[in-house]
Amino acid sequence: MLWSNYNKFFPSRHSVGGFVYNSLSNSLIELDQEYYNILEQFRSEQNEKPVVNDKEFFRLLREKYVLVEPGEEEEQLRIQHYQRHRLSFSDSVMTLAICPTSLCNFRCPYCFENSQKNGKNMTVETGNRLIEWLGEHKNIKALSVTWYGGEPLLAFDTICCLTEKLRKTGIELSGFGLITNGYLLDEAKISRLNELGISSVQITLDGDRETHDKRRYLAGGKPTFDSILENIAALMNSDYSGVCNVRVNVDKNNSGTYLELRQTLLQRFKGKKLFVYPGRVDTDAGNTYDSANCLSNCEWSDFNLELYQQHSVTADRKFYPEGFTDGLCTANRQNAFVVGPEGELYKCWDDVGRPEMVVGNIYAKETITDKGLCARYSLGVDAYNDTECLACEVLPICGGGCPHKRLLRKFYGGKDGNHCSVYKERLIDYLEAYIDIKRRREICRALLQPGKSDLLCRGYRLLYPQNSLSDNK
Amino acid sequence: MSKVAAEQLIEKLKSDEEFRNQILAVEDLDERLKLIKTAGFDCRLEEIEAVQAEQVTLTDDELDKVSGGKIIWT
Repeated sequence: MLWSNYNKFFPSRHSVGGFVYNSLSNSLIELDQEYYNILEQFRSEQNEKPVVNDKEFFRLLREKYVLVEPGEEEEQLRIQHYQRHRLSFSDSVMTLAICPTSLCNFRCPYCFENSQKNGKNMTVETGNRLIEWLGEHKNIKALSVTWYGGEPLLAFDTICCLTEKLRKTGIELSGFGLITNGYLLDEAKISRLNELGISSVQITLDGDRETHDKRRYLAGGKPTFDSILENIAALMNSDYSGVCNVRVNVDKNNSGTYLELRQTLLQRFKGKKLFVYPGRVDTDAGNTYDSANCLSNCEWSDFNLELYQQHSVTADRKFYPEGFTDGLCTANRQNAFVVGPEGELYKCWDDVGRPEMVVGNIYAKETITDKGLCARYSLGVDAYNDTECLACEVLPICGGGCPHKRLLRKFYGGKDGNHCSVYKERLIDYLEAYIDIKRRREICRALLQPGKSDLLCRGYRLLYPQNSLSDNK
Repeated sequence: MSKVAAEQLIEKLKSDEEFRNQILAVEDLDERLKLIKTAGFDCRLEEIEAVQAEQVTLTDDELDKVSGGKIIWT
């Protein structure tokens, strides 16, 4: 019996005992001091088997791959690789980000889209062809759509028209989302969101008024903060039934303003379905914005972990790893595309407006016109075929990270950047934050509901996936 | 009485097993709050509830809907 290469074993910060995490099973086990010592002894002495009379404990360690037989880890990695392929090549769900226009009324210095000099609106003919094209995919059982751009509200009529036509296709529509800068979201448009089935609206702010207006201004240079905030207020005071997610783009220049903006917004819209979260500014796609402004993986981790440690802000869902499906996205999934305004297809949101990154077209006889690029995006950057990744203990929970960044690095001479998962360097920090959140919740619950304590008293328990945070909400 | 005291109480309960066991051993909620006050934490039930409520932010599902390019597996 072997101690898995995918284990992280660490003592508790606040109590006696500790934890063992295994990335192959994405499981976390809490141990009291006695059980912690048993594993510590096994790990350091490499005995044949842990000296423990508890058969259930031994069974749990085996089931979660904390203890493995020779060859078992390789077999499990192969299974995960196979499962990722199955998901990637499933053709029952189509996911589209549709750009009804590539024009934008903003000129943000860090924008990754290269479409503003030659922006286009989607014509009625292209919209009709898109509906026809969807009809040619006979195996699709469900369709998810995000309205994207450019600024999609510059082509609101196209969104309305296409929604009506999509509803007539007979394909189950599993959801519509809207990503907008929020400037044109007036009351007339807000009043139609429910009817259009748009269940989430993402609006971006970049900090307080002064910071935002320096970064997110109109094409003519005019400020936008006040208008966007007015529109958010109108949205929150309307009968809109969906959620408003305010994304705050964060880099080194404005990270200090995030917390105050978050608190201001949450206070002002208390009780409304408005959420605020940080988004990382990235310039891998290339623009004139200085990449030195961007946060590295470690800096991004510091930013998120400090928000929690110092202010109890838990907006980053990535405290606990997602599991082996992480890194699966539009880029490496067969039936997922970003649809440009002329019917051109991309595999990544960052590619819009780059002719060299077009993989296909809805007008083409065969949809995929650049099989080479599709192959590079899927198999070419597959981390399970990469010797460096295969040697990494977080591969089972990162899947290689962002395919777009991997692609730029491997095939286009991109710099060695932030393509790796944040867990590579900071896994234990993230797990400790997760444990802390869970412990706080358990303590609050135990405090407020006498007799319902589920805190560990003695022995061991599976902290994740059983009784996971989402289960406890 | 303050939320700060409620925060300090949670921190103490998190790190001090003996104190935690002592508080949680009291079944009656009013008696428990009295004991908490005696221990130097002047906070009301609502303030502890407020600390608990603050921890619920964006859920995974909600974030999935807004994270660029993320596939939602259904």
